[in-house]
Amino acid sequence: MSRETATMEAARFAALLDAYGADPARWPEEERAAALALLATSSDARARQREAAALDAMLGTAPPAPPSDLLVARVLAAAPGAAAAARPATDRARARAAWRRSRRAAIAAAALAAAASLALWIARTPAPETPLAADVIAELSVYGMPGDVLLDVTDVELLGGGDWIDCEAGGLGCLPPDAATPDITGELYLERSHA
Amino acid sequence: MDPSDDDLMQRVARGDHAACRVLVERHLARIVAFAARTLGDPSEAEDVAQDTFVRLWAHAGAWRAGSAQLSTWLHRVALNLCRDRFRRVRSAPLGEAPEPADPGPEMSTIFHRRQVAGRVQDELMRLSDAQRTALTLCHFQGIPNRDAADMLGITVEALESLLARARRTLRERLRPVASELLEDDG
Repeated sequence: MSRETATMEAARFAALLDAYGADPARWPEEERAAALALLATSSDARARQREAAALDAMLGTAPPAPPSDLLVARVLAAAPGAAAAARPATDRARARAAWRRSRRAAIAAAALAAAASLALWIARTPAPETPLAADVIAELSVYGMPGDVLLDVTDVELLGGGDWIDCEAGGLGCLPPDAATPDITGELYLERSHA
Repeated sequence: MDPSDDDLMQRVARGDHAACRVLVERHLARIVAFAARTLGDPSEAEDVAQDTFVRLWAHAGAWRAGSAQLSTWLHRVALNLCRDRFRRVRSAPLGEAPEPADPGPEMSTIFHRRQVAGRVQDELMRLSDAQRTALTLCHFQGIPNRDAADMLGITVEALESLLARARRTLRERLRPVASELLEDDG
């Protein structure tokens, strides 16, 4: 049923303002065009609209607070796929931690290995000695250095007593069987273990 | 082109967390605002908003494209949650902000606007629940009148009656503040 244009529209326009305020965007869509047409031709309608706009302005002074970050986090934590979305980050963090641990372990192992190698090198490397005399050098046979005999020895006990290695013929570094045990500081000597 | 709410809901039903994030960015603030104006309590409003979205996630599998506007559905759920709290939540009207000892010209304007805003919020909370809810849905949330009437379970004519009474009440109670505000803007 259509309304009479002149009267009904004015009364209806007043009702629109009372209910929805001055902003045409808030008027019912199906009546907006007719209301705008009345505004264009009626000063009274425009005056009523200005009155309604005052209340709209006051209502617009109370803007709502945005949602807190905590709320956003809670909502997303409850959303589908939240666990999967979080897992890669967790896995990456765990991988980084494991890598850091292994790296520390590798560094420590390398340090220990280096220390052990150094210690072994020190132990194997003969202490600096007085250069061998020419006649001593002439006595050297198979071994280039006194310690080279270690390369052949497989059942050696580093203990005092017993026979000396390769001393049957009075080889280098050997002492007569009856000689007192010398001060071996700085020297290396070996003895074959008794069978 | 941004995905529609229907498309996003289908993705949510498949466990797409990125789609959930988009929906939160689009709709959460409006739902919080609606609940805040309806209940007058920001903390309760956030609880309502959270509960609303929890229900949205649970409902995703049953969502049918074209069946309804997602925004309207969210407001309907939030309204129901607010109704559950109406009897429990009666937040005290916002108190007036303490007057600074010697505000400068700019601070005086800001302070005054805050006073006006506080007074408006106070008067909104003094309205009946039905009037405040109707005004919040239509004026602040921009919900179409038919959808708002449907949510409230009333006719469009009854909705307009609620809105008109709410506005007349606010206009009367805020008349002194309105004059001051107009003087500041003049």
